[in-house]
Amino acid sequence: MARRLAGDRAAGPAAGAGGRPAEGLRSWVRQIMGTAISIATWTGDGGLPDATAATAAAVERAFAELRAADERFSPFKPESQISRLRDGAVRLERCDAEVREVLALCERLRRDTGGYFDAYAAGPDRLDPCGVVKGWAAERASDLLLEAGVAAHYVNAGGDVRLRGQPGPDRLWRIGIADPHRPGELIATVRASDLGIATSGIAERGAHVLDPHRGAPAVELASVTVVGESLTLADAYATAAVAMGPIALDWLAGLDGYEALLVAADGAISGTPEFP
Amino acid sequence: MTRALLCLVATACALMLLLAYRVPHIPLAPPVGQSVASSPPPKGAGAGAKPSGAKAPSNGPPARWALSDRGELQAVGPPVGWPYGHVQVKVTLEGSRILDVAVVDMATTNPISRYRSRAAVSRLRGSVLSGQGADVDVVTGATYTSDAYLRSLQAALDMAHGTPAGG
Repeated sequence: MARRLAGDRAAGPAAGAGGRPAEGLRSWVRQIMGTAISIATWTGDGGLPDATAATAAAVERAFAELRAADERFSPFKPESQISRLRDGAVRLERCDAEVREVLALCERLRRDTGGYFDAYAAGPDRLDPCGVVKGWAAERASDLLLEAGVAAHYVNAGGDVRLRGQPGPDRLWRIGIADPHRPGELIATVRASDLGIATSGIAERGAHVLDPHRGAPAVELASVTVVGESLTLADAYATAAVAMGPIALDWLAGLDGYEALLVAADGAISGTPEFP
Repeated sequence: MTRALLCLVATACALMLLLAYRVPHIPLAPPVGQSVASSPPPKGAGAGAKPSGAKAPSNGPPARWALSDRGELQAVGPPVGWPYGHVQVKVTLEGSRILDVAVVDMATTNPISRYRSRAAVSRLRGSVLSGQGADVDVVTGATYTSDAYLRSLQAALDMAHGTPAGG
């Protein structure tokens, strides 16, 4: 299904004319992974009589998937596989396939980002794959919804958003990008379908993103938003870009299929050439 | 259906993020098979529908709701903290249609704000939303900020719609 992406320079009520939020939009919110996770679905008029119940059931399965990921991957839960692996209580070969998959992904991302994405950024005995797990899990939750026939939906895991389909025949999802300096305001909106969009920044956990090369918190970029086909990668790239600081713009511009919007700590905004 | 949710009037320019969470996050009804956990305030407020009370439910800690003079339901979520402060919002509804979302209390001590430079303007400022009301479905942002807003607004909406909070 075709990926669509468009910028919206004329945001405002009039811009929504003819493309108002469609009928059949419903949402669910759960607290998982220490954040609020929202799932919204859109069902067209041609839906089956039991579409509502089937959709609700699919949404619950998606939430269950997210909870399971939290149980497996949280470095804050002593019994999670990640904690046990970190503490030497279990060997990697004995971990679930999902854990091995994510850790392999972390290693790939460490190489792809020149070491700026590093699950061991805090130290060799401080395994923390959080920079990739939230997006990865949201992507899986979205996959489950799609497999269940919920074609038009989004999963928003604390700001990491996977969009699928469209909320209506002539309408794209409209994503607001939060202004890191002014809580409650947006710096831009993007219209899209079938994409991942993730934001990382120092507002996320204070100055929590470590520059692994310096061992110090990264502070130059207030937030980085990355949009692209995979939410998992968009999330990881955004995290890596915050760690990189100002040099991230050139690096992001070189990524194939991913575009980014950066907000510096001083408020300056920059974007990759194709950012909508 | 959701037609009633589509209209929204924004009052102030600082509310875009809140608005972002308004439409898609309002279940029209409790999910099938789920019962309403707490007695909801009157919704729809058809002519003659009388509120059973316009004060906070006795067990609802900080969240509360009330009917305005014009019969609009106003729900105030609890203050929700984030590392640099806290936020609390109020939503005004007519039936299930949101008329307004407003911050009733927000404290931020974000030191980064001090470094903001008004001179730093790029071409992308062309897409800045300035008090026009943002018709968006979803928001991406660094977690704490949006999370706090979401929880605050969602608590108010859950209150208004009698939707059971998720576990």
